Amino acid sequence: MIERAHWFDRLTYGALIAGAIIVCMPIYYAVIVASMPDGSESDAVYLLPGGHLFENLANAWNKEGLGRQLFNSGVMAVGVTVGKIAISLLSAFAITYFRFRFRMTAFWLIFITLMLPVEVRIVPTFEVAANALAPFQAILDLLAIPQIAGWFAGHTIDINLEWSLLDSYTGLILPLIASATATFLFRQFFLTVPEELCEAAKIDGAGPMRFFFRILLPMSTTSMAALAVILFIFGWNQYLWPLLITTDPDMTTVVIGVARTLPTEDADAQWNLTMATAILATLPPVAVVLLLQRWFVKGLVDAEK
Amino acid sequence: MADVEIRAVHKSYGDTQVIHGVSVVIRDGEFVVIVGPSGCGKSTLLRMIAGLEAITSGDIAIDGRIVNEVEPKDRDIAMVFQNYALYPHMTVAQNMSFGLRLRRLSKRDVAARLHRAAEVLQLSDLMDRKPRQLSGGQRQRVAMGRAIVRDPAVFLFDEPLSNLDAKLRVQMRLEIKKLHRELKATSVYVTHDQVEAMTMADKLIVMNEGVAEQVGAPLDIYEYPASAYVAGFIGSPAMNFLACELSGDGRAVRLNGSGELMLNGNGAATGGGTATAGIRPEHIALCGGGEADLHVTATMVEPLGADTLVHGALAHDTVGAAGTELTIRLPGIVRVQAGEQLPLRIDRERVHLFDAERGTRIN
Repeated sequence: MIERAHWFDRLTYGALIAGAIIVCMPIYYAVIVASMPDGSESDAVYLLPGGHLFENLANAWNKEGLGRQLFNSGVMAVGVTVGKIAISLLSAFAITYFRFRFRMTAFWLIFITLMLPVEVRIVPTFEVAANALAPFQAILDLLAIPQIAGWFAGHTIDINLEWSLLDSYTGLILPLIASATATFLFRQFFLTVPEELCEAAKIDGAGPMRFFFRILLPMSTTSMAALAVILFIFGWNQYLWPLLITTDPDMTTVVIGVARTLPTEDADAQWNLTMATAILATLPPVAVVLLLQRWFVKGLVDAEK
Repeated sequence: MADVEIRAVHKSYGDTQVIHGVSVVIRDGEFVVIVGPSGCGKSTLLRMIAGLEAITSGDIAIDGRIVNEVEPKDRDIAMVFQNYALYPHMTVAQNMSFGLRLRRLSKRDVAARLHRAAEVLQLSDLMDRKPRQLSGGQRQRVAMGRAIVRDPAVFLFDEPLSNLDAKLRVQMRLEIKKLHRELKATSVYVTHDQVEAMTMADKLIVMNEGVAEQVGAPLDIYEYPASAYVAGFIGSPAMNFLACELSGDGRAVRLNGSGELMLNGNGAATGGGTATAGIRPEHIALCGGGEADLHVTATMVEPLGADTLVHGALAHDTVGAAGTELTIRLPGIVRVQAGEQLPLRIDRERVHLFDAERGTRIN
């Protein structure tokens, strides 16, 4: 719609500016607070910067373990992004291009997991992460395999399967990488790909996986990039799961690191350092957004058809 | 180079049968056109030859080898799709060579084949473009190029020209024909356009509701249609159908609104009863009032220059009150006004007689 009235222009600009201010205010305030000298009044409200920004950033950076935490967050976010995209591409490929029994059941099962985010299934997920082989142990016990083996061997045999994912990157990443949303998105995209393309590939002699890697995958790059932005931020922002599964300080992520700088009851608040840490923690996702934003918009609008 | 044999092929989707036993032999190097209205099963038949559709029963053999269970890529065929089905992220050269690279041909071999195909199709300047940068006609060429580089035994075309505009369609029609003359590869071409069918085919297969109604050379089918259906489908404008009564010996007919016409040795095998007479618009001519078989009141006149189409209704209709509709093709420019009554004479040697109920030819 093209509206050429002056008052209307002003109204829309006004709304836009108000919205921008509301969105930017917390970030602005974080920068202001991060620039305050040590020992500033913690309940005062500042509106102008205090001139100690870089000093505080340097302090926050030099604080123990921040580099390590950023690295951990990076590994987790990238792992979650790559894992989610890989798994959902493959599952979307399976449910769109193959006719197998219970295909729709599979689709709906994936879809239903939308209702089960980590927060809901956190206790059982932790249980499994604590010992990823526990289900197999249960099966062994149920079938009385150790007893049978012991009977054959002539002495008691104990079989204890254990594979703990606690305090590991695998544990941080794996439980988060199944994604119904991404699967659904790729399925919708695959449905728009003309069937003849698949048939042409068949005649050209490409098997299913060749078709997937040589034709479908290159065609989905824009949607993949768009999704990568969202998923990276999702992975980076995870709080509850890393908090639960990591106890080793070397394995904590930066979001938890920020939370740990918050004042405890009997300590003095160092809000400037907290905010400086928060700013550092925000930079990588911002960089990812800036880097991929061209693709992001393209992926959402989907120009390449 | 290969024969294609289709033997009693049936196709069903669940309980719905769409191909009811088609048997055709396509000789090596022939250009065969399968024509029929949409939903008649022509594309399904082609896709079964390609191996994209399973055969419910019957056999398809390419070069003497039954290919029912053979993968499309191993059938030695190439297919051109209606919407071209080019890979959007690949350049023209990559599109054309994809199949060859999958077959692990040497780089030099691939380049040589690409070069030759590009030359034949005048694509040499476009090899580095992406499909979206090409016009419809160019995309069509690339799709054909992709088929040609494979050097297949059989070319399959699935309505390849229906997405092009009328002018380009005529041009590409000629090009495909020319190409076929050069490559001499067996080709099967599916279309619903009977002009394309008539002009391109060495052999025409007219399909209707999953059955091959008639197989033969285009002009044979035009001159001697095996059923009222084929007669109505082939030829433009369509044949006129008039109810008629056969004389006792079958050698003459009495049309609705006409006197008795002797058919000059073109009569039905058995006489008596009613039948349907088919008369092509071009086999009716203006004549002097005395020798007229029919009188037609013109309702609409379409002057095309080379000939003039007159749409009208029988003037002395004895059956329908609305008047039986007729189309007449008169040569050259004829000054006829709508509403005028025209005395017309029918070419007796070219009257087609069909069984009134089953539609099969009886003369």
